[in-house]
Amino acid sequence: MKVNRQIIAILQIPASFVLSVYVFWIVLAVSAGVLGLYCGGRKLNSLLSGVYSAIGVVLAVFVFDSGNGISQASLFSSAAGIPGGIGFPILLTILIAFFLGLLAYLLGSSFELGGSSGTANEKPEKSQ
Amino acid sequence: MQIAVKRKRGIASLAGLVVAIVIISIPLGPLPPLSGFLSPNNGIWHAQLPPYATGVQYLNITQNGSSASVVIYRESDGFIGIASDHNWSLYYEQGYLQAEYRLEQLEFLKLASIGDLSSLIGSGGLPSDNFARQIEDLQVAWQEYKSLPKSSYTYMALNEFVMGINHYISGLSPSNYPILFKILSYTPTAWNITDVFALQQIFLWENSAGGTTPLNFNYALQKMNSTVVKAFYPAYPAGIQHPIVPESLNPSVYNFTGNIGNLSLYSPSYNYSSAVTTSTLNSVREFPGFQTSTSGVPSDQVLKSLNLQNFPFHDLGSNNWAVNGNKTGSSGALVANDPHLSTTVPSIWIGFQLVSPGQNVIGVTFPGFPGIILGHNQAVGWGATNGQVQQTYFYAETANSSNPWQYYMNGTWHKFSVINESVPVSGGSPESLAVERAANGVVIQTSPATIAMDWTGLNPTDEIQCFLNIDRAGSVLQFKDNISESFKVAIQNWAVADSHGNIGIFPFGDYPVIEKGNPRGILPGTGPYNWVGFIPQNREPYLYDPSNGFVFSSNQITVSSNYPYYIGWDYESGFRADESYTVLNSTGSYDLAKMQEMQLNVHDFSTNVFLGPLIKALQDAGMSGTPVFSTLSSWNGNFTLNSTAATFYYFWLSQYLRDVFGPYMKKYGINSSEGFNSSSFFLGSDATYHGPLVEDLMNWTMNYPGVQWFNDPVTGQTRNSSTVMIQAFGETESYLNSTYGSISSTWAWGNIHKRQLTSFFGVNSFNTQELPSAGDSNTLDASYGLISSFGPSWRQVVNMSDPLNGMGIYPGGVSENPSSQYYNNTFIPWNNGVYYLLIPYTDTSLPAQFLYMYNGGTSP
Repeated sequence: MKVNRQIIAILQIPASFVLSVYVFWIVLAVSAGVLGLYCGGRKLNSLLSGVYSAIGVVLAVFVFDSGNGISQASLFSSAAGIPGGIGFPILLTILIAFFLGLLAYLLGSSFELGGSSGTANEKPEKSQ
Repeated sequence: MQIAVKRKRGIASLAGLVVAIVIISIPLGPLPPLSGFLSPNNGIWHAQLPPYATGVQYLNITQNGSSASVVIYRESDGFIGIASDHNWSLYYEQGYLQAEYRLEQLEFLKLASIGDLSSLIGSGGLPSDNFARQIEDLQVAWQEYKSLPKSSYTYMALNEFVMGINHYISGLSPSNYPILFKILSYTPTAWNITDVFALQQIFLWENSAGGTTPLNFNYALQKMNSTVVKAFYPAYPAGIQHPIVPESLNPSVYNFTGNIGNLSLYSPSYNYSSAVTTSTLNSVREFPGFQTSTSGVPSDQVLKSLNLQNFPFHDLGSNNWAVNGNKTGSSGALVANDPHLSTTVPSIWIGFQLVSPGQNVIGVTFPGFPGIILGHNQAVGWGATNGQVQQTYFYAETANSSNPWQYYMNGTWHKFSVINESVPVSGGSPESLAVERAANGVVIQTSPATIAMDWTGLNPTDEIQCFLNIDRAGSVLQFKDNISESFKVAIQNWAVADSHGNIGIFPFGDYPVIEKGNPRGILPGTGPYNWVGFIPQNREPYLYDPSNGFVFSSNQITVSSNYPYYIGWDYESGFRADESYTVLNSTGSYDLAKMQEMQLNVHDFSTNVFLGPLIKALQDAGMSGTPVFSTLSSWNGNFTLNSTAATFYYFWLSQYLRDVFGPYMKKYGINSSEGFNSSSFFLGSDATYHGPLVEDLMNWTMNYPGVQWFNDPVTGQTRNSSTVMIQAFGETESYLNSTYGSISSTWAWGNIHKRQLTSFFGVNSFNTQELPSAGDSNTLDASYGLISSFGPSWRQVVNMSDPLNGMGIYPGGVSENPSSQYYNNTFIPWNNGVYYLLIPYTDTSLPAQFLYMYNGGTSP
């Protein structure tokens, strides 16, 4: 459902960003879970939740960086002997944010409000 | 509102989420928990690292109702000026600034000193921790702290210094921790005065000469024929010697009866074939530190178990000299110093100018120490080299077979004092360690024999007080008193000059005295061989305003051969001292430029000894028509960047040594595990040290070219110096041809010999680039090894008639942050021989407080 996807984008990107900057980035899983609970859906919405979570985190990494963060990440790669500067740490960061957003959304969406059995454009699942 | 649960999906996603969160919350191999490490708001992505902006900063510090004004002047050349109207605030600010720019270094040093390095880096730190605990660092530090009067200047300075460090640490949020703390998930802890004393203990150990030499010598005594031992390891070094305090310049310290006549310097006092084992030698080798030789691959070695090899304070050699009178052509005096230590990033030094009521001193100090260790003030300039005096003695204890906690001494059984230690290990269980101590030292090995090591540093001393006092010294004599009073361990040759035109050199400290036995090897621990005291202060060697107009030291032998006390025997080869003596003795009109020129001298004095005989041998053998011969015969012995002769000579001398002594090592079964190729004592690498064998070779080549020791003891081949030199020539030529091609510019010394600043923490990717470098390990401008990370860690030249123009440089920079422009910004200038004006008085923005006690200065 388009509305839900827009809601996910509108809410999860800033939530992920704000939580990463002011709280603790892992808490983005809570906002993703809540979105899952309210917006429902499954595959595509979960993926989008993961992507938007990662976008929020990446924005948090770069928007307020004064150069030190990038250089520290680069030093870490260098100390560990991993080529590519910040490539490895940023990839790890993105993957973690993505999977947290995705899994938490899936978890949230498995508790559907009002007993609804899925979104309009998805195949309803069997009730267990 | 109803909630319908899709159980299967819920369980699967919940499980996935839990697994994901667990995975990112625990350390994964060498990686720290990723949840914190990659956190955008307090992990590596977020850091407000200490800014370093050059220029002036004004502060007011209030403490316990007292207020102080502080002016900070940050320079780009590795120095920070601090001027304050109170002494307490000066040391407080020095502690704060050291923590601000060198926190990682401070914490690593502290943990290494108190034997807790393993709590940070894992089991790789255990050798270091065990040794720090075996020599009872913390216990001695505690005694030093307890004996320090609370009303003393030293207590005030130390207390304020650690308060400054702690203030910085307490204001530091985890997000702003330095990168290594984040990688290692380490939280810095508060300092106390005992930590500084523990650091002092490690500094003293690393600069105490003697080390394992008695163990090596005992090994030689057991393995080698006694005639060979006498020839190879003479009690007084062979060949050309220029003692620091020759009898001719101060006969007063020679007119006593000492102990040397009662000692047996070639016979083992203790015979026990298994007493010295490889494990003994290894257990007391250099104190491990943070250097690494691992490559930059992602590995546990780099991130969690920094490979410990060399403690960076370890002294490999140094130069200093002072001139006055007929050497200056004026009433003034000058002093120069370049201590040869590990050249690391961050540097083992940090530069400060400290100004407060009664003092204006500038120079360098080790992180973790208040005050200035090497430098000058308005009245006195000074420098130090390692005295090479034996301050470690080894004893074989008679352990009670029925009670392992007892040892026999002076006719009765005594109990070892035992300290049960528990060493915390990151990622593992704590290690238990029982530290035993007898009356004559700490036990460093219990099987197959119980070996104890006595060291002057096992008794509480206060060298930090000495540093704080000399910072305020007003004359050479006052400096001498300060050294005499409180510099006891790690005897240094302190060369000093003052503004009145006086000079001196003072190798003062605790020189152990025994009444019998052979201190060069292991002594029986039964009592009669124990220390009976130290050489009385009025019999310690020194020079004050000698008639020749100069004093100098380059780790050569301290005294003439008839000095009445035994003080050691394993000195540097003496080539740097020979060069210093030759230059100082033959030239005059010394000024700052000439002092710098001498400090940057790259003439290898060993060429004065070996090159002539080599060329003659080649001529006699009809080998004078080769390009290599032409190069060598026209060479002046300078290790300049473009010299191809230097390259050939470097490899040739090493091969000559190996060809002469290698067969003996083979004959007596001394292999790599016993130190062959790694310990200088048994023919070690150029980068390690120059032991006695090269001095033998010098002596034989010059004076006894047909001596029997040139013969090959394995093949029975009769040889002399010429035949071995020619053999080494051929081998060297083959090696260079196969490695670098035939002689050409590719053989240029600068193509082969480089300098590099290596990471203090052993992280290879934090090393600097390698720069072509002149000099070798025998030149005054020394650089040990082909890729050298040892050398002049600090250069200073000062004319005490005009100390405001004192010059100096240390390689590296103020910051320990590899991404800072001040991490290694002085490396290239240092390698190029640049000196900085230490007090930048020509800079109009320099506040007048920094000229306090000079013309134009104001009170801080």
